[in-house]
Amino acid sequence: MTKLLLGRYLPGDSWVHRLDPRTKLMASFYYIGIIFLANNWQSYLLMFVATMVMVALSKIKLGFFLRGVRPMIWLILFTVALQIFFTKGGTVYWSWGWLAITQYGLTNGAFIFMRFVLIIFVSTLLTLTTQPLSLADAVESLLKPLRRIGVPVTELALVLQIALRFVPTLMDQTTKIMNAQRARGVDFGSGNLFQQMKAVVPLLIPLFVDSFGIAEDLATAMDARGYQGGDGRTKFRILQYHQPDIVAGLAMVLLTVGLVFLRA
Amino acid sequence: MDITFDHVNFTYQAGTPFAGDGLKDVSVTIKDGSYTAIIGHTGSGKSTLLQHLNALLKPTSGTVTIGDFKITNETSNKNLKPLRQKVGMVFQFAENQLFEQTVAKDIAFGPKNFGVSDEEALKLAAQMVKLVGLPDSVLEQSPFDLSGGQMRRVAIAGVLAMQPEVLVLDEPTAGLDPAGRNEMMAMFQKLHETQGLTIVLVTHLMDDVADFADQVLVMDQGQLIKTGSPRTIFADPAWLTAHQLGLPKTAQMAQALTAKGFQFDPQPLTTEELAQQLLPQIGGGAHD
Ligand SMILES: Nc1ncnc2c1ncn2[C@@H]1O[C@H](COP(=O)(O)OP(=O)(O)OP(=O)(O)O)[C@@H](O)[C@H]1O
Ligand SMILES: [Mg+2]
Repeated sequence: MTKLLLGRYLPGDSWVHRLDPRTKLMASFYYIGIIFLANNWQSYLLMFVATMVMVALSKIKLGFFLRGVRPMIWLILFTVALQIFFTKGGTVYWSWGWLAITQYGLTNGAFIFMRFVLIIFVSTLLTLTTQPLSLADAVESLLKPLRRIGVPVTELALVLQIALRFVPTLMDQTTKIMNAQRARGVDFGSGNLFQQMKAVVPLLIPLFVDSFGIAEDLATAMDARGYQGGDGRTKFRILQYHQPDIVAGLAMVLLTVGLVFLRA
Repeated sequence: MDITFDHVNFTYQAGTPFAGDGLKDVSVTIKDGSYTAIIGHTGSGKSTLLQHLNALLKPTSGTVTIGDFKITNETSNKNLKPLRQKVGMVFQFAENQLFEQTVAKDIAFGPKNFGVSDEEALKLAAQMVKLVGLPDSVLEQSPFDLSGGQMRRVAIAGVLAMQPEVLVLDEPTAGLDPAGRNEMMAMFQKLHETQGLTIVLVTHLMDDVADFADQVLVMDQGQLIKTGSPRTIFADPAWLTAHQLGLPKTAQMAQALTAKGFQFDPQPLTTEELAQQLLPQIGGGAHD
């Protein structure tokens, strides 16, 4: 449970930490978009160097990013294998029936691998350096224009914030209930599929009961403090772009120009 | 079953920057048949220590020996069931562990996991409900229809039904009304006396420590800073205050009376001791 790294915030005071969450969110999406422009060694090298610079600026150890890759490794390897075996063209190194390892296959496999790893690095960077609640604020702020066409942006943001806020609480609660049931002789994660499913019942039911309890308490607490929906509410944390955000934006533009220039 | 901690260290989430010390170099023995109280202010590592008693947590380094079981960092999670049966654990807010459709089934859940037959387990459930002071009528009720205090009793019954040799209690009476609290503590004491149950109790109530425990462990920031009988622990009020702990009410009263010229030796820890020492000083004789 605690090994889950995605969505884990690492407190810090680096240049990346201090960027506006909206900047980080937009830049991450933008970066993931333009990585699909890369199509040769030179352009991938550029993206790799850019990512490493961002990682270095965050002052977070590389190990954390590698740990972010680990849970996805089988998916990545599977996709890479598909690329290697099914892309045809160039020199054939090995073949067996309709399976063949070709020059194009290998380069494509390497590119896909690179693309996966860089995307994971960048999304890990976003979640490691941005508090979940700031991210929710950023989403709200960026979606604000949609309010005009009737999308309940503030309510959606509230739902998102509450959900994020209670992830750690529920994880704690899960650990506690698992421990209590282990102490009563439940073996989680052993036995056949049927036994494992049965073992989950004593965990899920208390967890559900608990979540409803929390939800009810929260609703009461919000009512008691006069919460009446989001419209017209002011914010405690006001988002404001500063000079570093402009620098980050320019860096993205430069990166795009470089990519277009280098790609085949 | 004697329980021995030998230089036990425990780190939460070892190997990540979230790592936090849970226990630091804890060495202590809890004798078979003893009644041990663990005190210390909030976050001092009491619950962490308790979870080592049935291998829910394993020491990062050092050894925990529980009867025939030796738990180290390398111990596998398999084959721990016999240990878990012998060490019954009542967690903080134990009512959160209820899940079955009826109280009877929930209490029978533990024993059944340890291989007791359905029939036998339900029989145990009926006995335990009585033991924790609930009427038979709750047996067929849903545990979720009960009050918080009643749910706590059902959860405690569920642990007692496993017929453990060691009973580990993490603030079992927090949130109960005073009468319920006294009843529960008396029930544990009776099990301790009649069945020789080893009891390990975490509590913030110094009165309970004075009334029941024969050994006290004082925790502070993951370290075991003092071990001894209640009398030795409560002998130094200034030290207790410095560690955000207090005296039992009887000792507090004796302290106040000492300021007015009364004398107590030894320091009274229970109401009877206080009364006995006080009577001659206020000119009363022994009652007949
Ligand atoms: N799952 C966990 N992950 C990381 N740190 C934890 C975890 N559980 C407890 N800790 C930390 O370990 C320390 C000891 O916690 P523990 O729960 O043992 O305290 P306690 O003495 O039982 O307190 P209380 O009287 O409030 O129950 C605390 O500093 C706590 O923050
Ligand atoms: Mg605790």
